[in-house]
Amino acid sequence: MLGKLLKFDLKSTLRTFIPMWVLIIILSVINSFTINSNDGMIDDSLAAGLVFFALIILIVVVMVVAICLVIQRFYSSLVKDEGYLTFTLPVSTWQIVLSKGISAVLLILANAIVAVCAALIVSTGSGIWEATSVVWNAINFGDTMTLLLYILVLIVFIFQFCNMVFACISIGHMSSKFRVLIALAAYVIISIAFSYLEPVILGGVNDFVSVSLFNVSFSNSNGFVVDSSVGVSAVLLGYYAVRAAIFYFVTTFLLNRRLNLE
Amino acid sequence: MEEYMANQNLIACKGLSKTYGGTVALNAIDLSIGKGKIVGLLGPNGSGKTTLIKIICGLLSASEGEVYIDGNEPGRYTKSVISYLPDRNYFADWMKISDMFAVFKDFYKDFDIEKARAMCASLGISEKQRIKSMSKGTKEKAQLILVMSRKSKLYLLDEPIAGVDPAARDFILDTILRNYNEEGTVLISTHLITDIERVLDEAIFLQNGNIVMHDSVDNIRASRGKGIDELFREIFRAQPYEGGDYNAR
Repeated sequence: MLGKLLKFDLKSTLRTFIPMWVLIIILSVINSFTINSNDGMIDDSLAAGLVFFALIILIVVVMVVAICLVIQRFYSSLVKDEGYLTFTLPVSTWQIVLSKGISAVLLILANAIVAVCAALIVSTGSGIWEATSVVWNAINFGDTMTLLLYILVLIVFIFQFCNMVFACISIGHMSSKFRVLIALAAYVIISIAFSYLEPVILGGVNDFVSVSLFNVSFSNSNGFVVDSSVGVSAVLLGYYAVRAAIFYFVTTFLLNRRLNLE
Repeated sequence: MEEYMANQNLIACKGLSKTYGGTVALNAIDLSIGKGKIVGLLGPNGSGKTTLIKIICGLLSASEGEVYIDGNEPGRYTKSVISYLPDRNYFADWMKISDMFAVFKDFYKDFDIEKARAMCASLGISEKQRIKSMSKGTKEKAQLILVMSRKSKLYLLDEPIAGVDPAARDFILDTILRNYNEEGTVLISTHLITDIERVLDEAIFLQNGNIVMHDSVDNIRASRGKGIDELFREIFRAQPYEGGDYNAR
């Protein structure tokens, strides 16, 4: 059933994004030609600049639209009239909330991949590609496992962010009036609360993890010294996972027990 | 005994209450409805009809009391055997009817897509038409087609004939009568009694969250010597302002 919910969710969002992605790729192809046609004409460089500018704007717009759409889809399909269908389907509330979170992550990641593809297309043959690889090597992400860890942190970060928004919408929905305002207030309060808690929690946990687990145990058993950034990423991964679990639980609980559609 | 009650009846409510803030919408109602019936849930606006239906279909949690549908508390199983028509349009604007067919086919094993297509064709509704471009009446008919194309144990129809013209009312009632699963029960909530009296087996009268009467239509006619519509007007007659006699005017 989770798969069916995801299919239904993705169908409703992809119809907006596929045309935008196609437009981004077309603009990048045009851009790669204009950047590479180096005949010294001012008009050409102006045109190249404009297309490049349009491409950047489009990527930013698509990212913002993606986040807005994630929020709007959750709001309209769960707590507005569409909720009358969603909550009478023979599925559990936890599956509904999970499907919203997963489809949001997939959508935002797909946008990021399209943006990266656009950048690669634009840079083909122009020397930027070589420059990119120099920068890449300089940053030195380490081995594949480390890179995967970073990507995982990013995914869990997006997932917990979406679930935080879902939790705020659900909190706002508990009231019969000013639902959007209460949801916004909940978002601000939760953000402030976590910004106070973060240094305390992360500081303590980070010291423990980086000293006792990674730098000592790992390096002894595997014979290599783990980069301290791996330790930090692991801590962040755990922290975001806990946040995701809290927000997911709050959303599911409220929608399960306190659902009150207009 | 309670378990027996829950299993024998399609719907069994015990001490079911719902309060919104300080307002009592349902007041400790006990109710049992059997299988294979068409039951009218009758009462004026604000009597608790929609609240009761929402609790049965799992959209609302009761404040107190218990409810069993086919022996189960509201949940995934009960949602799979209930076909619910809400009092509003739940389509997403971007969808076409064919998209809704796909959703119903995916989620409900008892959805008969061929039947739904035939009903659309007989009404001249195109499956490729966007919901956005449909009139209010067409949307209501499309939703009814989806709901009645399932072979469910329980059909919960919340105000299916409110807000449509008399010709459309006849169409809706005929659709319900011709298409419901005969082993299933249909619970129709309405305050438009005249139109549905002819199809009912049982009537439940709700007033201020209390059940004031629940009996078979034949019994009501025999014992009271009057029809449901007449009885409804008698029970729910509004008290005129300053004690004036409404009937004398």
